[in-house]
Amino acid sequence: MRQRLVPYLLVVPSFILIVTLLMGLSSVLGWSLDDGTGSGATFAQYESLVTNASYRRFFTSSLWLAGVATAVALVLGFPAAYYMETKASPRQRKLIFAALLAMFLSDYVLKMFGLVLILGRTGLVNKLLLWLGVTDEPFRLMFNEFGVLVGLISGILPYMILSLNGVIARLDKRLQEAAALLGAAPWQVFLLITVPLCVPGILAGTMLSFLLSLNSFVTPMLLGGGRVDMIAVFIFDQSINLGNLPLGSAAAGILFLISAAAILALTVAGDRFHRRFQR
Amino acid sequence: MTYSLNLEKRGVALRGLTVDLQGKRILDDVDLEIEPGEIVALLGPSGCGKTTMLRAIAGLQPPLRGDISVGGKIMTKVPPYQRNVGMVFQNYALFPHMTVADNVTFGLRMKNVAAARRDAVQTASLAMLELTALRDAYPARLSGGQQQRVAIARTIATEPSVLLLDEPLSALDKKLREGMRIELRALLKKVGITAIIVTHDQEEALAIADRIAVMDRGRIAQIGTGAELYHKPNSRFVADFIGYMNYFEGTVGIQTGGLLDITIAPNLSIRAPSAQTIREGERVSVGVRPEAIRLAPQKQASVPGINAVPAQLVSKEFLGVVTYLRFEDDSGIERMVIRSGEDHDLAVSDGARCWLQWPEQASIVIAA
Amino acid sequence: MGTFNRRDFMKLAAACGAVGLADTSSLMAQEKLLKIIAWGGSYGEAMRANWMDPFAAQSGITSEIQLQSSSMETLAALRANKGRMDDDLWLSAISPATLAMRDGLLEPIPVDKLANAAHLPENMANENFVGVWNLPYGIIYNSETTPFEIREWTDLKDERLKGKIGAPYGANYNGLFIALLAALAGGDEKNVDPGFDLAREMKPNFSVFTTSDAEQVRLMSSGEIDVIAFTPVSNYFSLRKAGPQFRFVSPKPFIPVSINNIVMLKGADVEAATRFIDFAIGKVAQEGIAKQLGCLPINTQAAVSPELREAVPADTQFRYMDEPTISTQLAAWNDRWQQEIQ
Repeated sequence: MRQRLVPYLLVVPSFILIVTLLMGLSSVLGWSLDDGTGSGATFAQYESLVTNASYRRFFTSSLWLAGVATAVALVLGFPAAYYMETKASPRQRKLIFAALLAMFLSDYVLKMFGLVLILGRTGLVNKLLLWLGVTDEPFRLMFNEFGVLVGLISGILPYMILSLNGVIARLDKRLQEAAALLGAAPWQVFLLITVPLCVPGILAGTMLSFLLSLNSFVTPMLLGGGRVDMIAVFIFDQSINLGNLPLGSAAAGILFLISAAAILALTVAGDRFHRRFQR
Repeated sequence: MTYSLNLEKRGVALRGLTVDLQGKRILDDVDLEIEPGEIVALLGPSGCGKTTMLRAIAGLQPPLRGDISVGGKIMTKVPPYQRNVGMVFQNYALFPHMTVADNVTFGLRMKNVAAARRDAVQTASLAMLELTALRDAYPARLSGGQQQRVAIARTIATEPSVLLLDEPLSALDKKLREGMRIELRALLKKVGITAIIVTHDQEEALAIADRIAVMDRGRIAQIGTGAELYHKPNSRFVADFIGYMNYFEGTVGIQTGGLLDITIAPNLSIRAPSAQTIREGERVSVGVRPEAIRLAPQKQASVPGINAVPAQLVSKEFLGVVTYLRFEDDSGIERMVIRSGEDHDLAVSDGARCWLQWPEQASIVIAA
Repeated sequence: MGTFNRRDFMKLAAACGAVGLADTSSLMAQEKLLKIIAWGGSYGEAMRANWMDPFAAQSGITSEIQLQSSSMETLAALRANKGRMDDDLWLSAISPATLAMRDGLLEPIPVDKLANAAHLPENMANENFVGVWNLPYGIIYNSETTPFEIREWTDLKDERLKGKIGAPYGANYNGLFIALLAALAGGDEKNVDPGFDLAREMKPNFSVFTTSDAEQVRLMSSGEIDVIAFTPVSNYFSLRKAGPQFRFVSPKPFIPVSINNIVMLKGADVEAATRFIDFAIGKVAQEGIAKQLGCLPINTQAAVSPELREAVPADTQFRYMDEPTISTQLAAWNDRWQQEIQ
């Protein structure tokens, strides 16, 4: 009896957690439909989010920033992951891995504060540029889209690299050699063989990075200086600072839908790609 | 839409080829000359350097020293994609995300071959390898044999100067493997390409190759036709690698009429054709292939040109075409005799003592 | 250990529950505990030192702080958990308190039972809220990096301050900055267009929009900005610890004053909570907390500390903004600010 209960008991905590999360999610949905009387339901909040250009800007700007950050992270992360898996000595590999792990383990807010110290008006980069005489006025490296992008990218880069190095490690090196022997120059091998075979990892990394960036709150708060519009900040501002829980909830609802759509699109793309050549 | 492969047969030469991998010597000062259109097998146990040699010829493994030339042109520093050397990998390395047709034309696309010619090559090579029906299939759906044919078609389509095959049959099951040997040789000869094939299976090497290079610890132990290696091995390593060999250890005595007298036991000596550098008093091994031995109930003294050694039958193993007879000689060493069909030698009964006899000319002296 | 079946387990659970219930109810009978939703940090410390500890010593009623990071955040939580919170008192600003009252989240305060209410300015003690302190707002600047001495609000337009100023995010500080700009430009709480025109003139100078006191202090002390356009004087006392170069200005012609207040939540222990409020607005408690926080005491009999007098001279003109009116337009102002200024 007791023995048979054990598996069920082990599931209980995660079950409670999931139910609690679902309850939270459903109450957000409930608030978003609140018409103020406490009894009726309305889509007015959603309507105003869609029709109001200044609200829409939070969504388009977030999507744009998340897209750019993900693309840059992919372009930066791929060579890093590739180097780590194919060129690095076991010692170097361990070092890189430890660094990535440290980035995972360190607090996100702390990392962003670190960037503030680097990008700020009196930060490391500007101090260096001033000292080198490149400029005599410090550059604005944060409180703009650039700063937020740097923050987003540095936040998602470890996820991207770790998503990629799995597939890169599993790459059959002989496929690249075969392509080379068939006359493919190194860049052709990379584009026609390496990249397509890494698609599962690219999709996973892209999905993770895109969603993390899209939902990012701390980064625009600390590095955006109120000048960069992102949805999470809008939701916080509306529900907490302005007490407009219904509008904030509706924005959260739309963010949820966008995230779900992104997951769905990338999963379908991955499935299609896979089904073609895997049993 | 006529198309024929446009291969220029080119020879391959290795001079002093030396390769180190992670501080370990894998290939040690190897020289090898391969004629245009010839099929050469690199045969040896795993770790002997045969695959490394193939990879060095392909340009996938830079050598420490030495040169590789193809058609008289030194290729040592040329990158793989400019060498025009084709390779069929052990696991075939088909591109999983491309159809059979796209795999086959990959090389042509890389070499910017005109579309019309590309289509012609594709159609012709798919037809030649009986893959036409599978042109739109992805590799994961193909059987091992089909994958191998795609791999060969893909490689040959680029009209390489040399074709390298790394254990081409090892991924197939045993039955298919035996059938494919003949087919592979026929195909290579039909195409007329210079081919180097790596294998650890002696039968495969014998069936496919014109010449076999037996490799041992980074060096070529001996190179020659199958018959040369079988009948004139220059070392026990080569002798053991192809077929079974009975060895008689002894001390070299006098030499008469081109024959060495070798004492293998007190009052027992055999004679063998002399090899050039053997001196009196030296210890040697004398090899005798099991099928060269006949049986006699008594020693037929002084029959000229015949060696005779006493032994006792331990077991008889009937295998259809042939029968294995295992003997033990007086010092307990196993002696193998193979006789075929209804040979009267097979009448000998278990435990019987008889004499093993073979022509002196069938004895092979190998330095111990 | 023998077998332990489900029925045994249920019995045990029921027994534990019964014991637990009996325990808490007996505790509740023994002593009173007031739960106060309030800000932490220097506010919390000041409240403990000047209100909670002496009050407990005097009345035997202990109290504890439930942390909030902003009163609007608490409003959101109160709305979300309608009637399910067991807190008694809430330290708030006028706007959230007004909104909470409208939503029926508050308990009426028995003003007639507050002996010290007589020493409060008119309308600072009513059944909705009781004022607890005045927060004067002004400008803080770094005298080493700012090219001139700031004296007036309109100095914020000066082009020498290009990219040097941090301004409130959206309608932060309960819309007081936007209302102030409107008043300066000839409008008022109901006509803010002139205020936005004025803000547009300042816009090139704004480099960052801040969401909290802590952020303002951090950006100033790290040298990220040289001027804070709008900040409670308490931030000045935090910054002064970082260096003497930081100056607080009570700019001409007038400065807005925001009243923080205390309200009673639905389901509160009215008797104990009323006693607490009366204690908090007493002369001694007021002088102590005002000195510690760097704000103006609300009790007219309480003396203003010399430190505060230096930052807010006696001749400073105050302007009480119409916070209830502001609170109804906060969302619209916030949108407009984000769209036009940020």
